[in-house]
Amino acid sequence: MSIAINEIQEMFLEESREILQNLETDIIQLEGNFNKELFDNIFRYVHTLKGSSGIAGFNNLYEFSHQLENLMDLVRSEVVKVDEKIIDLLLECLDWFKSMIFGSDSDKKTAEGNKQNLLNVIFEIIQKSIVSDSGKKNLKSAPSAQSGSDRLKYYRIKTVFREDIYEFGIDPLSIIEDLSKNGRIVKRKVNKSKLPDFSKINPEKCYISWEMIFETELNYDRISEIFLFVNDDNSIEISDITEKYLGRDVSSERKIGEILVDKGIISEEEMENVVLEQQKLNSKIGDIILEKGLASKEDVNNALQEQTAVRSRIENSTVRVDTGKLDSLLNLLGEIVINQSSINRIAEELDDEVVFKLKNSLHGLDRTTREFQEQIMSIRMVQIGATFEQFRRFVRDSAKESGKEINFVIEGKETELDKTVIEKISDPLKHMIRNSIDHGIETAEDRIASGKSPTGNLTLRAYHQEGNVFIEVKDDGHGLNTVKIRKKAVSLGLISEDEEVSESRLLNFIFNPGFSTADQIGALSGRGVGMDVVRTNIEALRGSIEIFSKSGEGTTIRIKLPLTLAIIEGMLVKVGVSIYIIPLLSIIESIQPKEESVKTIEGKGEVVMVRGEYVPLVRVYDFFGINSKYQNPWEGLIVVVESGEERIGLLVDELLGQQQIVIKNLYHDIATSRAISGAAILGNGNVSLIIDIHGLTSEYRH
Amino acid sequence: MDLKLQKNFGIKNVKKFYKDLHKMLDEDDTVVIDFSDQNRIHLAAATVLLSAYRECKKLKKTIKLKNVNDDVKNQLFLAGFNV
Amino acid sequence: MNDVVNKEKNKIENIDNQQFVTFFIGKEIYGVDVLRVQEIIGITEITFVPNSLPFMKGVINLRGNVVPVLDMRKKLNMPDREYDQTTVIIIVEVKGRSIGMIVDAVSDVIDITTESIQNTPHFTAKIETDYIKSIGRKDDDLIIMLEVDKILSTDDLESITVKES
Repeated sequence: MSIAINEIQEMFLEESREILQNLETDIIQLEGNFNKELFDNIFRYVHTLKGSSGIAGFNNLYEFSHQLENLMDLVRSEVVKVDEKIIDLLLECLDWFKSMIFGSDSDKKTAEGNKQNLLNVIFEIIQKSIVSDSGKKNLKSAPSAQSGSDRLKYYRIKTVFREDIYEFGIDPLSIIEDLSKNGRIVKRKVNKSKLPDFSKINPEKCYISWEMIFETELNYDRISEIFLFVNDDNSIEISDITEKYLGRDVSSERKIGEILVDKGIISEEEMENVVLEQQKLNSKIGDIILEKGLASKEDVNNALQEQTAVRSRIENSTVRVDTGKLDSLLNLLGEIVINQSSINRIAEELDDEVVFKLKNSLHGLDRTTREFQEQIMSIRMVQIGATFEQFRRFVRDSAKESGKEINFVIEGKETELDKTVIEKISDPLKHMIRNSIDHGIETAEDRIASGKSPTGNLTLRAYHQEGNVFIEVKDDGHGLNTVKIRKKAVSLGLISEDEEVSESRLLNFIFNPGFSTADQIGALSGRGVGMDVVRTNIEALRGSIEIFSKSGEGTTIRIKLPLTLAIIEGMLVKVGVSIYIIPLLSIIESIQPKEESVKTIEGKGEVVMVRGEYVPLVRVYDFFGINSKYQNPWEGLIVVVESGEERIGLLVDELLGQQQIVIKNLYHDIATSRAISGAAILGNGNVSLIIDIHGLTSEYRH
Repeated sequence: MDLKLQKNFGIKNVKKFYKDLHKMLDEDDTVVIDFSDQNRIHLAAATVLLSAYRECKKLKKTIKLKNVNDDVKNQLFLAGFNV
Repeated sequence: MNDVVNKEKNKIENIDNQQFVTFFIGKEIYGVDVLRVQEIIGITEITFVPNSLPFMKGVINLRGNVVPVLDMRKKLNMPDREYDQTTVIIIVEVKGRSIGMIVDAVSDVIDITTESIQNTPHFTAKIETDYIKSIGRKDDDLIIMLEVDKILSTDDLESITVKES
């Protein structure tokens, strides 16, 4: 039992995180733009939150959301109008939920203390509105007078709960009560036939079931939502009996023919003929109608659907899966891929007619596993929308704080990304957005002075391109001041006083650690944390970051991320007896240099000439302290790789070819070197290490 | 005999409630259950009450509820009582 | 929480026999708690990890998991020895991870009564003692009991680094 409760609470945490995020987005959108549908959404979220907090045993949250729901009910019945005050109150309540659910102990304490204040505000609004609106309310509470109204629906609801339902923290009675608040229970039959004698009863078991006729304005989906938490293993049947209840229809299961006649698609006469024919031929009515060309296939199908809709039940088509399970599934698949390639290798060695057949079926297997892999990866893919939406609140608050007017636009919400990447991208984005608001976008006065509209534009955009995901933060502020960046770069010794540096290289200096407290350059300073941290975070995700800026016109920061973290395309290289993997994305080219193009330059160490440019040479054997076949660069191969703006050449013995790699993480105490980012298992079952180009470059520099 | 329900009465203490009620009905002809402080009644408790009412009918005993607020009244109705 | 568990364990140790997997390194016999041993495998292909700890022999593929293996001879400051037929890797569980220990040969699984375990290792070996749990005695043999939780501990890491520099 205690395990079940833990699981429920865990589920609640996960679910409420999502709900709160959606709530925030919707409430912000509600500001200055009230629309009923949106508000209904918000109401539904609060309602779900109430339900699940009750189930998870957070009575505090339950009670609070219950009161909030009361208030929202008044908005829905148009008794209370949504104004700035209500929005602020909703946001405050949202923050309250956040700190109660996810806050530290002290957060919770503060929130606990604040609860009554918030409730008082809510009560006050409710009280006021009820007094001023008592007339209207009376009208509303006489539903039977207008039961013929088209808005009212009637449902037959049968519920049979599992005997052990209490163990899941669910009280069926509170669900029925919820239901009763969403309409009117016209008829209720409480089935007590299973109730044992008093002396034999087990008080912790559920014996009661219900059969009700329910009158409401809500549609089928909304009614189903009330039973959201109990649909598994409990029998909940909901059927729309509006027509039947109001005496418009005698049978809830109408025949296809009748539906078609009612719709005026075929005439009654025609129908009679069809029925006669059917008795003779003993085939299906629908088929005969089709055969005679009395109705199109589409019409018949629609009628069929209508017919089945009457008997529909709640069905859930999504499953929540622990990402850990997906990871292990992926690992297992990785194993299959590895075994497969070793079979492939054996097949290569064999020399027989049968081998041809073997190879053929191996090809087939290969296709399947690749597809399998893609499918599993796609399960891990999540739309970035929710992450983006959570910034609406942040932008609103930051803009208010800095006294600027900002129009925040989100594009490409539906872009999908690996869940792990999404979880880690939020903080860097927040930094970038904050920077844009604080230092990119000007105040309204300044903007008018420079001939711009007073409202600044901030765009957050995501899109796919060539197997990568790009995320852009774009503002139309005053851009970066390259003159100041240059000065700073010189003072940090990154460039010499008179060195000619391209504009893009200058701009990218802001990702260097020295620029973190860069108040001096004015155009970009964070709140104590600089863009170097952002870059480190992005690179940890094996992504890269670029900046574009035009003076007076604005700044765009673009992040490039791999679609997934678990699998990469890698180049296998050999050094001595060891095989290392270099991520293909980092490789520019590989060359066999001439003896004279390798030099040692003072202060820069060994370099090699690549297409007219000297790049630092790293002897991998030397760097890793292992033996190699070749010590002379002109005998081995130089793999030219790129990390950010920097290029280096890695000396290896030979290239072994490229391959898809399933990345296995190494604990940091195993691979203390930053030049190693993980490991992979090769076709022969051996472990090979993955070289982290960025880590290697920075370790080499020091 | 009076039985006052404790605060935060719910599924956790329904077993105790059942035992107490059982004992009281054994000893007494009339049991009064005090619902003050109660805003909700769990179905488990309501079920115990339902069963107890039936038992009382048979044995010609009485259970009375007092200080029941409107919310709880509604819940009892939904749980199958004729309030 | 862990302390409580450990205390509980000690209690049990005090009343019960304990089982140990014993193995040889050189002439010494060592033991680890049998409950911590996941499996024992023969020597396999080991991938060297550059710039890692001196006693870190590398990583192996254990059914798809990349598992680090320690050279116990290096760990215990003993001279290297060629791997042979009897060399094995004992896979133990340390804080939820699998870690391999390369040892000269596996000896036995033995029961040791608590009386024959001395909890205070006041002997004068060259080795650092924080991963030595206790000394046990079986018949005439002295058995050095290893605390597997400590074989990769950071304290140890630091002391090693200091030594190297």
